[in-house]
Amino acid sequence: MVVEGRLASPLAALGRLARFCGATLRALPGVLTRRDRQRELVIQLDGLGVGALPITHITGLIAGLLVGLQTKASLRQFGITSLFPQMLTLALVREVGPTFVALIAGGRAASGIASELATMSVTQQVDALRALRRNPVEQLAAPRTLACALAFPLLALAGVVAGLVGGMVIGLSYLHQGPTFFFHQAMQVLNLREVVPNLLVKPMAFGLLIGLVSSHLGLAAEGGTRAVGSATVRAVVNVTVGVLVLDYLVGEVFRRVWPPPPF
Amino acid sequence: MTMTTETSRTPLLSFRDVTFRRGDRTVLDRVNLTVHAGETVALLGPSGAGKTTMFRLAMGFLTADDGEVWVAGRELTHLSERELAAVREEVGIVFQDGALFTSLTVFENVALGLPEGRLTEEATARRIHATLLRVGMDELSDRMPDELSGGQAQRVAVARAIVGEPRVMLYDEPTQGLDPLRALEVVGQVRRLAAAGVAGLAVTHQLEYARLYADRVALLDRGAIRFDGPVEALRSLDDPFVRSFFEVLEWQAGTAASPG
Repeated sequence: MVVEGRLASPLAALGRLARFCGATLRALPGVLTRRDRQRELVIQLDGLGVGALPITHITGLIAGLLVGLQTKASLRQFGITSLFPQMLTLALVREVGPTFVALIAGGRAASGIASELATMSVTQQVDALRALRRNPVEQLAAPRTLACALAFPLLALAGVVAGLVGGMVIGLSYLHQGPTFFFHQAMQVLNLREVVPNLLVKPMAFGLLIGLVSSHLGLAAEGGTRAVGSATVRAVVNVTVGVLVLDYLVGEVFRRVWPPPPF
Repeated sequence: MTMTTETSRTPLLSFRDVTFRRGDRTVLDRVNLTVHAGETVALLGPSGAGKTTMFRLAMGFLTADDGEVWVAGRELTHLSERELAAVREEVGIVFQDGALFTSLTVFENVALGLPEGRLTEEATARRIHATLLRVGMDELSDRMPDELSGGQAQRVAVARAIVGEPRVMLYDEPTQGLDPLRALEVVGQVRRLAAAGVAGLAVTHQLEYARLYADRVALLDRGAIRFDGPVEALRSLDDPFVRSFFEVLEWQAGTAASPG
């Protein structure tokens, strides 16, 4: 998963990342049971989730408008514009919603987590935590990772809803399809086999990836301010590539194991 | 703080033939240094000499390649993280610039210095307030670290380090960046802790304050201890490096003419 970084020992870096991921995942249940970590979880949900809503809505709306324009043009070519709501909805739910949101909101989250933890690392706050018998993975990485895993399905849903609004605008403006018609047609293609993999499993996987990778890079930062910048850039790059790879892998697994019904 | 029952010669922090390597570079080369109960040692040396490495070895963040590091009666080399956590209960650490957690209040920062679950909530609050009172910060217990001056932050860092009544104190540049008044307050804190039987190791560049709180000075150069003794003995040594280093420190402190 490490795209940038020390090429001299990629296996060692992968090993460190794997151990870190294992330790963080084991610490996730403790975030829900300990009062100090619950508080941190709430703070992170507010920052990483609620704080990302504005950009998620904007991204989703613009994606809906863009995909709507392309979709209506293609459908008009074949004379089947009545399928516009269904095609747009499938495009938003399957890819645009979860993946676009993960790229935009994920970049925001990754840079925020990596820079914050890297700053704590270079200003000795992480050393102070260890000296005070607290585990930085349990105190810092686990709440952030769990917050991302919980927030990103909700953000994906918010992005899809915003995208549908954008698509509805296109449908109304160019195809004279009213909101009631649009909504009714769109709901026909939304079933569990579309919703579960694309609006639950994928975004949750993206959230885990974003939390784990950016926390790992932030806590591993050493040196001064340059290390903070480096950790932040690496987090965003690694998360971006990781989201795209995970998007393909998760989608492929579900296509083989639990494919959507024929349209 | 209650007086410890240890005699003033009980070693509480020891480096015994400690060697530490980073890649091909030998950072520490058979270093020997002991700090006894009730004693404070100032560790001086140029940048890159290995002072931070010794500091991190004493905290158990690094493991020596050879030799032994003893803290509060336990040798650290083969301890698990859980066993190291038990040792760290005996150690208070004051980091440079305090290293306070910016998302926690002063009270909450100091609370982290106490072992979890040992005291009731009321007893914990009493201990924390008493400690903050000792460092003159009790009235600001609900402030956030960003609202504190450098001197105030350092006092809170001291409070966090001593609230657990440690037997060993580690100071990383304890007077760095402080005005003379605040620096002298820190000097007073260090001396009071030593009087209560605490063993202290202070990494510092500021000889003018170190001579006020340190019983001994250890000079580290390129991974080796070049001098270990009273501050004033530095002046009369024949070792040209030690004498020149001492002259530079005195010149920086404004207590001597520029070094030759």
